[in-house]
Amino acid sequence: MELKHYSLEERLVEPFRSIQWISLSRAKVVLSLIFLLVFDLSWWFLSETVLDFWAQILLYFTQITHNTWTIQTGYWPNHLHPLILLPKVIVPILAPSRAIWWSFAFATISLWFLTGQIRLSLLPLRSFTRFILFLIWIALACFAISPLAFRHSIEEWSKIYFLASYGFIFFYSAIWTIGVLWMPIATGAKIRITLLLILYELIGTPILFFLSTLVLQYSSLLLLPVFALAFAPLIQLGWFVSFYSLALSNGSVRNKENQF
Amino acid sequence: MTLFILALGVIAVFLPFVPTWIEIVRKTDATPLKISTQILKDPRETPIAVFWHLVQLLGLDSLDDLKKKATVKQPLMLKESLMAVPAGILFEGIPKNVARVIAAESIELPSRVAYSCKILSLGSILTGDHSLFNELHADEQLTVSTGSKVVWWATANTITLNPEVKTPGKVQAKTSIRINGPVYFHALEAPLIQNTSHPVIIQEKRTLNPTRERILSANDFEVPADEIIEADLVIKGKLLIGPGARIFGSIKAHQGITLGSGAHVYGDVIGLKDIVFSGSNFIQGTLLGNQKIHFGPKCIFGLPESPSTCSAKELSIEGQFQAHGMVRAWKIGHFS
Amino acid sequence: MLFGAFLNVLNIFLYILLSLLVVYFIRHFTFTLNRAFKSQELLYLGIENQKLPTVTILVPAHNEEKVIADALTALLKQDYPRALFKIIPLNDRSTDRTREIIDQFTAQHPDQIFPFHRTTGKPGKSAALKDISSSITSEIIIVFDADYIPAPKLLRNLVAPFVDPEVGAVMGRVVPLNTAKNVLTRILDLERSAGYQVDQQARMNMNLLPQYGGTVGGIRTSALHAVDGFDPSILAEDTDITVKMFLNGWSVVYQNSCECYEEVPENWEIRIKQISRWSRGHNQVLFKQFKVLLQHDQLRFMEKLDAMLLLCIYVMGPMTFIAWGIAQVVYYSGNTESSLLASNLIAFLAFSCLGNFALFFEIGTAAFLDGYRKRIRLLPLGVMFFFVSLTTVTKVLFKQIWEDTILKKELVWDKTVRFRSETPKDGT
Repeated sequence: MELKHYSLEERLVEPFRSIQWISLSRAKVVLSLIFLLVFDLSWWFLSETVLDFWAQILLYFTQITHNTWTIQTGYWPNHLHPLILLPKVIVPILAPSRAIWWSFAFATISLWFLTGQIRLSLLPLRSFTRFILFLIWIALACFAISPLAFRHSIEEWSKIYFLASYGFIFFYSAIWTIGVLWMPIATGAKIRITLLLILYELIGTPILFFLSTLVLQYSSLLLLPVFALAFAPLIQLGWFVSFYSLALSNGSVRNKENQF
Repeated sequence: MTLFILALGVIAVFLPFVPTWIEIVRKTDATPLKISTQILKDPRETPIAVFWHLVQLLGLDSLDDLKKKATVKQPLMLKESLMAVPAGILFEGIPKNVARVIAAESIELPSRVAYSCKILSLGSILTGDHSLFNELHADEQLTVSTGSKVVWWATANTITLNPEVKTPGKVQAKTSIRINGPVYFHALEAPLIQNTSHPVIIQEKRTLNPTRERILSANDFEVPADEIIEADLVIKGKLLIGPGARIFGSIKAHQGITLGSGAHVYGDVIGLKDIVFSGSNFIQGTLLGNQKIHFGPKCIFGLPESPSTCSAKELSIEGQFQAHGMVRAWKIGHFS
Repeated sequence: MLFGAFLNVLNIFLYILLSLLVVYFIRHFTFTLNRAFKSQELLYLGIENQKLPTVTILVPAHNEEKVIADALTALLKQDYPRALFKIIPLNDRSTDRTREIIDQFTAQHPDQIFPFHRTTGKPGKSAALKDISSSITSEIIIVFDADYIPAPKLLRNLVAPFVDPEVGAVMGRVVPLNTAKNVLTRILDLERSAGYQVDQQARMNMNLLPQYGGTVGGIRTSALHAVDGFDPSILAEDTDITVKMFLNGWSVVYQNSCECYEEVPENWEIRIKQISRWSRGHNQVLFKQFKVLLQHDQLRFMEKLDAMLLLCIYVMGPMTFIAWGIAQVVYYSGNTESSLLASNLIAFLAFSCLGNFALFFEIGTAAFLDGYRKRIRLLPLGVMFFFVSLTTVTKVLFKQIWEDTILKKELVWDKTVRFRSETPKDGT
């Protein structure tokens, strides 16, 4: 079947823009598996050392000590640091008796009505704000219903958060591999963008933790779940999607002008 | 200090989104998908359309102007990348930058040469053997000689494909395509495609009953020999049509279809697996196979007054064959 | 003790919701892989010679003065024998110049255009289609919305798959025309691209259930009558027809090459109205057909699963919302693993246009196949859509349950507002 070289399907179905555009060979599968392994392992090893390094630097700059409660928010992977021994901290309880609970309740309710004033062209902003308020209300309700039931060890939480965010590496890299590794873009571009992503997840994540810590320090612990469950994962995945789209948008353009 | 770190942190966090913002502002890729709403890109263009395109390209008024311009005694560059050649044998030394070669009269091409340009003739073209062509367009007769290949497109009024010709592109004739011997092809289109010297005139022309029934079967189905069925058949299993049966309706099977010799189908035939025609079969409607279609000897496909389409991944045609319309193999088709 | 049990139940519920989300994730990942690596379904492509059937083109219009002329002009330019097709503009009590424009066209092309001016009966597209469809005698019915601009080859391509006696409906591809207008239209363009180029085409390739979308689509008249025609009580008559077709042994074909321009909403107000209507209609079909579908014994398991997942798409919005809330409650109870797993997973899904679950890699692949480049960089903006869709779809579901089951309120058709101000230029 020497006629194969002319790729009949490609030429004749090309006007329909619906052809098979990448072939899946065994070599590619093996390469991808190797890539996955290297990607995951390097991320894992690097994260251990790099995060530890960052922890020390940022601790020095901000002079956070073990008795400031910012560090107790758990946005800090301090279980890695042998010098810091965190006491087990219970999240402030009996909230309804405190001013903070009431002030948050009023603030969020008024904010809900205020967001109604946001003009429709900024609808996503309104939806997002209201979603965050929804999370805060759940937090308030939880404190109000049974403050004692919702005690929580921050140190343990911090540890799990750290593990969870890195547990998703496999998930990330699988998408990355399938999305970018097999795309017809230059190999150099692939490697560059992959390294950039690893770098960003390594450096960016501690920065994100640190920023959250600062915000929580000046606001309230009640905002902690909002950061843990909404902001941080959204931004981390946002980086991922951003790098993914950057890699994909650098692909080569196929020539479709073969009609005449 | 804290504020500085905070600002730095915010910048770092939002840095990866910069390409997105740049694209939002610059709008470098914001045009809609290009669908032609005005120009009709019809693949069933006649050979003459090729010349009309050339007329437009040169800014001429009519085809006659083109003929005048193309009538030359020696090769002449009409335009950068367009060359006019005299009648007779086309000389071999065509410069590399020439994309189109045009002749006002019939031309004959030498053997064992590869041409990357389009060759257009307002008369006939007779190719040499074992040559390679990109495109050939003749206004009258096109004869592709033994062992030659037409990679992309061949059009003419009548086309003859000689043994061992390979046409991975499209072969389109206004009147007929004649096949002499084993040929590999991709798409043939003509009111008459045949590998016999005398086409059979079909007597049995039937129009289908528009209110015919539809028979659904979840298992295999068999039509007994010489049975007459006036219904559409939708079969989830295999379909076996006995010899001499007549089906006045369309058939579809999710598994293989086998037609016994002399069975006729006056509707469309759609098979998601292989389709086998044992021989002397007649199909009036469209024939679509998702895998391979095998034609036994003396099969007839389509009617001259209402040409039809036959397409499958692979086609193998054995013995005498006559088709009206389009015969397409997405991978490869073979006349033995 | 009781409280602990309650938390356990919440935890289990959270895991069920997460598994559902993972199922959707796997479904769309499979579709993406199919489009990226598998070869294309070629069966119905390239049918250039065939016995052409008779066609009736329906153009439902209600106050479409801005766009109807373009649609009729484009339809009259179709590369199809004049004797074999006629156009019926369905003017459903328009109060603007729509009637006048239609009558003008009728005067110019009396053999081609046969207007149907509706003044009584239930308002809405499905009711109008129901009214006219019983009197149609042609073999094929093709429905175009009034804002669509079909290419000349479209009709021929659209009727081609009807040579297959199993095919009951054919769906074409919808492409936005006003892409360059603003960020919203640009992302909607990406979303449509993913929905058709990857989602629909993959379902077609994998022998699942491509959806008939109500416009740029053809229906075999006999099949339509066999499934009792359009249901005027349902907003999404297209989804209803799709499911009914499959239940009655007809199949739906998606033709990627049948591209047709449409207008997408240019502001959020119209967009949320549109998505509300879709989700409401879709949920109606879900409530109506779920049990029938579950008990049907002719469909394969994968077909059934795909149909279920298709029908449940707009219920997943509220489910995601609830899952995120539960994740937080669970977080306070000390079960941080599940709560963080949930938040990460949902955040992953958040970079999708929630309406049809076009996940970001799906959109990326579709844009890549379409030959877009720099436009792919808008992918991170998918998160905007997510929150708008999430809140809209959730609101609609609760409103629907309240109005349908408690108040028993009559449905009202909410028309999409048009923006076009000048005749569209040729795409080439």
